[in-house]
Amino acid sequence: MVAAKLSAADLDPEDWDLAELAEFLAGQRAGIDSVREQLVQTDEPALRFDPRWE
Amino acid sequence: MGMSPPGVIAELGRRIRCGEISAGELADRSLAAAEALNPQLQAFVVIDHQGARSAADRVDRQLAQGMDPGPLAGIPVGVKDIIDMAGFPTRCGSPAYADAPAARRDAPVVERLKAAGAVIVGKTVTHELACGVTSPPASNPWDTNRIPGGSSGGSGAAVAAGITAAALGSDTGGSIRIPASLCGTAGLKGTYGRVPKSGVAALSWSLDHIGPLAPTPADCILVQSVISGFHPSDATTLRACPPDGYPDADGGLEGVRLGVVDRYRGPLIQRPVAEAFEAAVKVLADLGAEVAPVEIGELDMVMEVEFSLVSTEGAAYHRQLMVEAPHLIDPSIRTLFAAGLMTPTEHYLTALRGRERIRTAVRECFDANRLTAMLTPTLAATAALKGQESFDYGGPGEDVMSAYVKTTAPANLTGQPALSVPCGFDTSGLPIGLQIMGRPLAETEISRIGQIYHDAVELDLIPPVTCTG
Repeated sequence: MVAAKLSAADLDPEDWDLAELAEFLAGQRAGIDSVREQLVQTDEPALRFDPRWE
Repeated sequence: MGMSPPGVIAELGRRIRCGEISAGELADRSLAAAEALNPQLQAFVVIDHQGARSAADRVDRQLAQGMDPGPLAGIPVGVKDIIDMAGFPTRCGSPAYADAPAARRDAPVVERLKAAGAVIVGKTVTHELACGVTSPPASNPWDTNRIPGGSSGGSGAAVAAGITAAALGSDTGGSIRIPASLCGTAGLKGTYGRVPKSGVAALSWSLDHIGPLAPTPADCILVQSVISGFHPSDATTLRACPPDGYPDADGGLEGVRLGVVDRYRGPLIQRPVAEAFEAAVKVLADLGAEVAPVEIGELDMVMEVEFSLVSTEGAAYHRQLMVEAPHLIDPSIRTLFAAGLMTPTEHYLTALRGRERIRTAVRECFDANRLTAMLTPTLAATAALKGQESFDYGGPGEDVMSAYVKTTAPANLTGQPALSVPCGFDTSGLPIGLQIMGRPLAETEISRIGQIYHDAVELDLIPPVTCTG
């Protein structure tokens, strides 16, 4: 699974520790899932970020 | 403004203009200190004797002719080695850029420093690809067995040791404020878009900021005023007047309302840091500020959102290197970027949506509580030993990266300005920082608050490893 994803991203699976990468991806996935749980459908991204409040 | 502006830079500038010291003499002292201390501190990757002397001589000639060389006339400055400086390679602390050619032109921030009369002493050590908080091989002037923080670690060490009166850093999740806090200097990350990032290696386009580390908040805002402003080479720069570089630090804090973020008073913080923070809040209250506890539940999402954005944007920026020579990247950074290349687009958009939720919540907190600024400890912990991986708070611990980034990353996500100012020491004599986060474009106001605090507490901020000139 991870090897296929690496190949799809033009990365050579032989360059990587697949188990370590799978663990990292799982952690990142859990993190983004927890963010998603806190959002509602109307939460929009700021695709052109402007820091000003006014 | 008072009789004379506060800060080390203003005082050095006054002495140069009065003829008490020449810019050339000051450059020689700075260069000698850099050479003498670099074996211990590893703060610089290159020391530019010729360029520094030439710039200093130009300042002295201009003064002799009655000309104004600018607000940073003769001031020794360091530049983080992810920022292009003509004639020198930008190696980004990475073996992948070991053979990089010399930059053909200065980044706009370097152009602006030079135009203001600054004397650039050299390029400072960065954590590899500006993606980390330890900055090897640089050392902390307060204890050379400890890290100076990162990713702008060389800049923190150079300023803390008195080699330069300011240094440029970059800040994607705290990389100006982290070394400032750990090395006992001030550090300012301005509002997102204040300072042009062109000519600077990116880590995360939407989170990166360039800004100063310097001895005091007044020094930081003076440098920030010089490097701020729209630039056509960077579409993210704001069309806004640069901040006033000379805050009125003679007044009190009446009318200032400060929110103290409750979650950063919790258990995941070193006790001496918590005590120094509470003492700093009391000092600010005694100086006339109103203080209110605040809490923002959305800050729960900070770490996941921050690292999702860095992972994806960093991967996009470094994609070619990832494909052609991943072995030249440190394994932890390489793994982060690989994840960024493999995660679905929806994850990136979810992170952006989370970011906007955080930004809205922080803004609403400011408005509902009529806040001038928010306060947190800059970091949950003081400088780690080299090789240390985690902190034990006497209960549940956390890794070094989390301990340093959880308090600083919120301002990267919201784009607000944030200042770190020294507020005490732990039992080992290591510096502790106070973070002041302001409303967008309010760099001068948080620097004013920081400078008034700095003047009130009068900490002895000279580390064991320092220049004696």
